[in-house]
Amino acid sequence: MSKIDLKQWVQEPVWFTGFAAALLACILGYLVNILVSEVNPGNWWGMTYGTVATLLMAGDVLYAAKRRMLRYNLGKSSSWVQFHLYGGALFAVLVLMHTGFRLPVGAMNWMLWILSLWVTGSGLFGVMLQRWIPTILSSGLSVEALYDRIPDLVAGIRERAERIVAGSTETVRDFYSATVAGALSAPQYRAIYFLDVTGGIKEKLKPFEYVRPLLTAEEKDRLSQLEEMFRTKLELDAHYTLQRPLRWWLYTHVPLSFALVILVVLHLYAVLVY
Amino acid sequence: MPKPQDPTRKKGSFGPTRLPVAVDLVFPAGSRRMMITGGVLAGIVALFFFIDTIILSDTFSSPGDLSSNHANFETECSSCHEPWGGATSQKCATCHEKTNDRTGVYSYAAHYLYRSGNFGRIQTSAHRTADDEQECSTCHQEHQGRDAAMTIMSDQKCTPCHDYGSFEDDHPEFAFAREALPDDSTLAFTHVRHTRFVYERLQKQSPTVYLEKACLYCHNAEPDGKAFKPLDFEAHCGDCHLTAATKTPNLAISDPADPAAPGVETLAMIQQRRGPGTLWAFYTNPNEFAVSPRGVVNSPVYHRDPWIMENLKQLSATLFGPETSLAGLFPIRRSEKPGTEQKAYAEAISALREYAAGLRSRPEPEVQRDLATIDSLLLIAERRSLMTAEALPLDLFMTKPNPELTASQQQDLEDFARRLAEPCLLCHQVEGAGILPVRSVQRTMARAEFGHRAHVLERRCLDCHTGIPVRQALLNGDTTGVKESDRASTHNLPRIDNCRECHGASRASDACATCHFMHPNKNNRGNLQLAVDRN
Repeated sequence: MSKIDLKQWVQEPVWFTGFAAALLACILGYLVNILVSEVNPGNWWGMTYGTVATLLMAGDVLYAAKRRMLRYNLGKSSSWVQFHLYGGALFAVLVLMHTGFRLPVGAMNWMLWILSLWVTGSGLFGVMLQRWIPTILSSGLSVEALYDRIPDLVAGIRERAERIVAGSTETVRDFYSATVAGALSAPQYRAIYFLDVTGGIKEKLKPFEYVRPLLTAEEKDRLSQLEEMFRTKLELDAHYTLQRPLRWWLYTHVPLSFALVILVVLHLYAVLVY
Repeated sequence: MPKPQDPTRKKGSFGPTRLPVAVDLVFPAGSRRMMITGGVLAGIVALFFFIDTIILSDTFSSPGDLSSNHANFETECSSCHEPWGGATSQKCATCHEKTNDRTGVYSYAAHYLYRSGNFGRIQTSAHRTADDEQECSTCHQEHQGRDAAMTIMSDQKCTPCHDYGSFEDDHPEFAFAREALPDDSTLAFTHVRHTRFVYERLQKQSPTVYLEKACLYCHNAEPDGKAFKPLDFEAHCGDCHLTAATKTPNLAISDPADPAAPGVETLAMIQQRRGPGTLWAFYTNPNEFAVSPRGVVNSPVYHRDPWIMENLKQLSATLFGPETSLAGLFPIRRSEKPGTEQKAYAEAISALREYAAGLRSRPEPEVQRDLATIDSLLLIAERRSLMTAEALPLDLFMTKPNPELTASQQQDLEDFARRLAEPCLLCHQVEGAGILPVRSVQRTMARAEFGHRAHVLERRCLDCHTGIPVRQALLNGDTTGVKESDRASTHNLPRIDNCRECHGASRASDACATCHFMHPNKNNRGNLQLAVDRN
C-alpha cells in the first residue's frame, strides 16, 4: 500500500498535521469534558474553549495587520497565511465547543455565533476560490493581469487600436466600429468564463477571417494587430470575470470580521463586568 | 555609483532589490473601501452596545431571558450582578435565605457546603476542594429562557466535587452501614416480640393478614406517605404498659434538713414549694399517693409522670449543685463523649425549647424569671450551635457534680433516682438522676430523602428492612440471629445494595437529585430540618 502524499492535497503538510493534531486534542478534551463535567460556556471548561478561541481569533487578526506592515520582517507570509487558515478553522470548532454545540441565547450571543460561523465559512469559501480560479486562469489563457490594472490595460489597448484604425481604410474602420470598438470600450463581465475559460474567444475572432480576404497586404497586417489586441482584451475579460469573485469574496469576509472582533471584545467586557 | 535611498520613500520588500511599489496596486481602492466598510460596521455594533448598556438596559448583551421567577429583574442587571464580580451569592441572599437563617425554605443549611453562611469561603478557582463553598450561580444558572427550570440539577452539577462515579458501582455505602453505627436509641425494645404480639392479635381478626400490617400498627405514615410519624406512647404502648396497677416502690420522703439524703417530695411538699413547672401538682389526685411514715408510693404511674420527673429534677439539682437549678432540664450527661458536642447542643436546645414552651403561659414571677434564664441560655446555645464541633464549648450545659457531696452520697442519690424511676426502666435508661432522652424521629439518613410512598407499591416493609429478621422469626420460626440483632440500637435499614436492585442505569432513576436535595423546599423539609437539628 502506497503512502499518502499530503503534498498532493495541501500546501503545507506540516501545518495541516498540526491542525489535525489540535483538532484531535479538542475532540478528546471535549469528550473528557462531557464525561467529568457539564458543557457550559460559563464553567472552566467552557471558558477555556472561549479563551483559546479568542486567542486564535487575535492571531488571525494579526495576519491582516501583518499584510499592512510589509516593511517589517515579521516572518514568512506563507506561515501567516497557514496560521490564518487553520487557526480560523480551529476558532470555529472552539466556538462550537464553547457553546456546547447548542444554539446560543441572547441577541449578542446569536450575533457572535452567526458571525463566527459566517466568517469562518466565508474564509473556507475563499480558500476554495483561491485554489480553483488561479488554476483555471493559468490553464487556458496566455496573458496574466492584476485585477485592478485591467481597466488601464483595456484603455491602453483601445488607444493603440484606435491609432491603428485611424490610418486604415474605410473597410477596416467600419469593421472596427461594428465588431471591435464596443468590446474595447471597457472590461466586460461574462459568466461563461466560469464554465469555459476560453469563453468562445475563437468564435469571436472569426469575423476577422471574413474581412481579411477583402484587404490589401498592408491592411491585413493592421487587421492582424487589431486581432491580437482583441484577443488580449477578451482574455483580460476572462481575468476580469474570474478575478472578481476573488475580490468580492473578501467583502463577505473582511468587514464582518471587523464586526466579529468588536463583538468578541464587547462579549469579553460583558462577561467580565457581569 | 548607486543613488542613496530615501528612507521616507515607500518601498516594497518583495526581494533584496527593494523595487519601488505602486501602493495603489498593493492596497487598491477596493481594499480600502472594504476596510472602511468593516470599520463602520464595527463602529455601529460598538455604538449600539453602549447605547444599549446606557439606555436600553443591556437587553442586547443579555445572554438570554431570565427565568420566569426572576423575569421582573430583566432590565435591572444590578439586582443580581456586582460590577466585575458576577452574580454573587450575596445578591441572591438579598431576597432568598439570609445568612444563618436555619429554617427557611431556601436555607443553605441542608448542604454542608452552604451551612456556614460565610461568603468568604467561596472559592471560584478550578482547584477548589469540597470544603470550599460555591456561588449559587455555579449550579443555578440563569438566562436560560423564561421556561427554564433553574432548580433542576443534573448529576454533572454534583460530580465536580462529589466524584463518586456511577450510583451502581461507586456510590459510598450509607454511613450507618459503612461505619456500623448503632442507632442512638436509649430505649430497650425488641421488634420480634412486639410484632408477634400485634400480629397474633391481628390474625384473630383476619387470619390471612400480612405480617407487615403489624409493622403499621406502630409505624404510622405521615399524611404525605413519605415518612412515619414519631411513635407515641399513648397510642402504641399504653395498652399494655403503665397500666392502672403500675406503681413506684416505697420511696423515702426527703428531709429538708438533710438535702444530701436520698428522698422524694410528696405532692403536698411540691404544692407548698410552688417551684417552676409545678402547676400540675394542684390538679393531681392526692389519692394516687400512699404516704406513710416509711415513705410514699405513687400509683398509677403515667408516661412522663410529672411527680417522678419533678423528683428526678430535684435529685439532679442535689447531685449537681444548687447553681445548676436547670440541670434537670438538660439531657446532657457528664459522660458525653468527645465529638458529640453538636448533637449534645441540638438535644439541649430541643429540651430547652420544649420546657420553655410549657412555661410561657405561667404568670408567676419566679416562673418568668426561670423563663428569662432559659431564653437567654437558648439564645446562647443557638448561636453557639453554628460553631464547628471542635470550637463548641460544653460548659454551658455540662454540669459538674456537687462538690459538697461525697462519692458515696452521689452514688446513693443515683441509686435512689433509679428506684424512683423503676416503672420507667422497662424501656428507659436513667443516668445522673435523669431519664436519657428518646430520639422520637426515626430517620437516620439526613442527607438523603426517601419516600416510602413511592416504594411500598413494589415492595413490602420486610423486603427491605431485614436488619432484624422479623419475617424469618415469625413466619418461618427461624430465630437465628434474633438475639443479637433484635434491639433498639440496631439500624433496621437496608444497605445501598438493596437500592441498587432497582435503581441504576436504564432502570429506576439513579440521578443524584433522586435522593439528595441541596436545599430544603416545601416538600422536602423533614429530613433537612433534621439535619440542621442534629448538627
